[in-house]
Amino acid sequence: MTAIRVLLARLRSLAGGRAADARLREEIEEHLALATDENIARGMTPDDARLAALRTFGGVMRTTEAHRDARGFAWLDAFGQDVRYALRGYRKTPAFTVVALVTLTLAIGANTAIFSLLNALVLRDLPVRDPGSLVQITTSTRAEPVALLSYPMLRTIAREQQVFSSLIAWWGFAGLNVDTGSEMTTGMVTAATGNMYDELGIRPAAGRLLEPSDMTLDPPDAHAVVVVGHTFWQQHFHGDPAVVGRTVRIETVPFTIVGVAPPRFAAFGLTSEPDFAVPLTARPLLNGRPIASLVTSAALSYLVVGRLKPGVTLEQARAQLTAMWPAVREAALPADYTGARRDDFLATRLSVSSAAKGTEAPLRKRFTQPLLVVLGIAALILLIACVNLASLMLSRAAARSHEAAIRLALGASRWRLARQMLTEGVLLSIAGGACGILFAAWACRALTAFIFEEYSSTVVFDARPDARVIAATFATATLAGVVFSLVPAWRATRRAVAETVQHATRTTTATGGAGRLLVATQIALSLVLLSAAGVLVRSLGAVRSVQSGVERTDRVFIAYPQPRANGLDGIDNDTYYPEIVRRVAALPGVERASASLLKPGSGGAFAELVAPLGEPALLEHGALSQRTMVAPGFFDTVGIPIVGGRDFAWSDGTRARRVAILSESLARRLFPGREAIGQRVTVGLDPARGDLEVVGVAADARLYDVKNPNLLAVYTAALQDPSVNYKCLVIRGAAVSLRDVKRVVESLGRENLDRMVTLRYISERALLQERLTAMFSTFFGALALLLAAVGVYGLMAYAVAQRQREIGIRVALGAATRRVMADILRDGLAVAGTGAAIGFAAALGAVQLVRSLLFGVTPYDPAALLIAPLSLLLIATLATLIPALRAARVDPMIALRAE
Amino acid sequence: MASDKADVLHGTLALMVLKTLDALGPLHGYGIARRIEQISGNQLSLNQGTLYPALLKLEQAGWIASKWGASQNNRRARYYSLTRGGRKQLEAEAENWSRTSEIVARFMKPSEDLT
Repeated sequence: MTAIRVLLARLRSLAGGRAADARLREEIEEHLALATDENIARGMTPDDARLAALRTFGGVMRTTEAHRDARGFAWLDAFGQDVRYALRGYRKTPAFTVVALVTLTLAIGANTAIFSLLNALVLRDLPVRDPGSLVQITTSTRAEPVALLSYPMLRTIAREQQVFSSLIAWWGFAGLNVDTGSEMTTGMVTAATGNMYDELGIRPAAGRLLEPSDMTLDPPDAHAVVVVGHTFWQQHFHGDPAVVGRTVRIETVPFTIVGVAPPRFAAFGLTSEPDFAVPLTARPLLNGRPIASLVTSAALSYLVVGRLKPGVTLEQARAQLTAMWPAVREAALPADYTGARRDDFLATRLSVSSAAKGTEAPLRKRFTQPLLVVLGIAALILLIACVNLASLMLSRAAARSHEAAIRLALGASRWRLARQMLTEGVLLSIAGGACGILFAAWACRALTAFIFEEYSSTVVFDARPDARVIAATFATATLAGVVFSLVPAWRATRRAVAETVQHATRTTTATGGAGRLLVATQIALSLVLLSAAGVLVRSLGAVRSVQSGVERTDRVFIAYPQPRANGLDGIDNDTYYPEIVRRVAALPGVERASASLLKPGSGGAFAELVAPLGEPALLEHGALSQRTMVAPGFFDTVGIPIVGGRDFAWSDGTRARRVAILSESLARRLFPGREAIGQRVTVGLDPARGDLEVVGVAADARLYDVKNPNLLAVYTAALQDPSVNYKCLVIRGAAVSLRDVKRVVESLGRENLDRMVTLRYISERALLQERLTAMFSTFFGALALLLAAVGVYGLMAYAVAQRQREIGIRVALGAATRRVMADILRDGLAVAGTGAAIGFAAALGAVQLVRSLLFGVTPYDPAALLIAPLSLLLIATLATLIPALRAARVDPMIALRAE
Repeated sequence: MASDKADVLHGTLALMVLKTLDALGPLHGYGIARRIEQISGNQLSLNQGTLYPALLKLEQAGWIASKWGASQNNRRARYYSLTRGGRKQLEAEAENWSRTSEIVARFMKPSEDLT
């Protein structure tokens, strides 16, 4: 009790140091006055009385010190002194302070930003209740390495499983037409079982969320109720809670709003906030099908997530589910699947894994490794910054060695002096860390916007530095501060007192070997970084220069029409698409136009097995190819030459012979040494494409992924495929206006058009991770060069200042200024050269670490490995030149008189 | 060495301060110092300055309280007084002290009890 009271009293006194001092002074003054009065009364003279009073009192200073120590915390006072001293020092050298702070802000901030992204993407659990006990069930098929479950599979598992206390099923997203009652718009719609929100511990922002009573899984049934997403609610309903009870029409189906989801709720994803969530079993209604159609559906559309029962492990769950899987699969086999299609379905495998971190595995897969490599580079730049600051601090300390020596002579302990320097360093690095967090917060926002630029949903990916990131940043900053002030602290307190006091103004090699060693180390580390960064930048260049067979040009535009609600009902493909393409092609500025199922450049074509017709073992021997549907004129429009046979024609319609065009590589593979035109092929397992006649061969083109070495591709005629609502328009022209195309598309009354991009944009977006990596590499490379310049300049400028007297004498004795300059230059280049030689050897090893990210270049890319040391040596020479020129201008008279 | 002596002194000094305030009521620092000197028959030469850190510690522990008042010569002086907690502490300390001094005294007296 008493101890706590004392502690509190001391804490309180921290604030009122000055007032307490004043109070004590007054008390002591009064004490002495009373004692003096008494002494006078005893018959002393006033002067003697005062002296006697002082003597009896003991030391006034000592009392004050003891009082202060008892008042607060002595070490805190000393720390305060150190801090004040450090701040004064930093104020006196603003140039140094700014350089050091900017260096630390960028170096620490870059680390924080990348770690923050990694944290949000890889390390952090979903922000839901007890994410650790969530387990997801997915499948994989021959064509799709990661697929989901069909409704019949879900139903059997829900009925039979005994390892989960509850089972949630979730259906991703679709952008659908929404009539809010006051406006027509589109919204991202998701569907989930009624228990999802409650099971994840999510509370509504208004009304209620979906509840188990909103639907039944078996037999499938659902109430037409919907939960509105928070952002959509704010933007389209102005955050009005009275929206509950109103009706919205999604693809013309009326749903009653029951409530609003909380902000930033992305279900099992990390990035997209759904605008609407309907009961899982209401989903067929959105496609205009009856709910009962679920029972026979084969589509692998549902993510299944279970909450493990207490005491059940992931392994036990996996074992039980794997054991029941063959029966589940058998029960879900659609009646009309026969032959190879049946075999393929029955080969579907089950996969059971933790769902604690959500379902964005592809996103994670795409960015984790680049981020780790970039984090490595960022850590290297922080190390370089530390070494750089250590050498700058060393010069600072050397300039104050006289003061340090005097303090040592007066009895200060070495530890006390070292603590002073550590305080200075850590103070600087903590300030840098704080600025770094602000920089990182800005950088994360910018990067998130850049990465998710294409998302049409509300992106809620939260990469802002959280508590873990901030704690890691300050720990790193403190460690960095200790690291870069350790060498100066050790050096500054080591020198013999007498020697320094006597020769303080005449030291010739004050920073001496340690400074040169530090700068050489910095150069070596910078070279490692520059080499790795250079290779990564070269890799981006190599990816860009790949002959994709498609012109990456601003002259080809891709437009994405969005069907209106029921807009495609009763559509006649054979007339609608020829008409729309004909009208677009007639627009001013348009040279050619066509349509395609998938946008070129991004991934996402269908992977399908292709074999000559009659090949009995399609599953074993089919060539795995990319399939896409294209309309006539597509090849011409995007710039892929037809090397044999003919292009599709509008006459290849629903009522005509089914046809296909093969890529050159696929034609060679299927029909080696034979004419491919006129042959018949089987594409995939869908009977609709069981017998296609090859009418043409197109040049190889990396349409989907420039890094994919697989050039096997099969094109099918757009009109012969019913999946019309995915089609995009492909338009070639110098200046195609979105407004014109929009007018044409919307004049037909079936679709809207709001989005059009160029082929170059799509190609560049496909290289997002390469571009991000190269961007970071360039940034860090530039920073490393800049720091190298600062380091070398600092070292040489200091050396010149120290050697001013010597240079003065040499000049006075007749040395040529050119000679003096050459000496300084040689000195600087010796340090840089040594560092570069060591760095080069280290770089040869280090570039191996980025190998996994490289495309089209080897780690030992000669250009990258040559440019890095050359640019460093150039920068070092320039940085040495300024001090060398200064040395050449030393006036011998002034230099000599300065002593 | 010096600090050991100071510690012993601090401990007893605190007790003396508490006892003084108990006996005489509110007093300023000088008054307490003079009283201690008088009681000890001027045998204890107190470095009067050491009194003030001791007073601060007692105040921090909540055993004494202080407020400004007028001194004999009508200037401002800080008056210290015993709190209820201080009185309890004094009782405990006094008993503790008498027990300790008794034991020490027994050690110092050559006695047949100690074999």
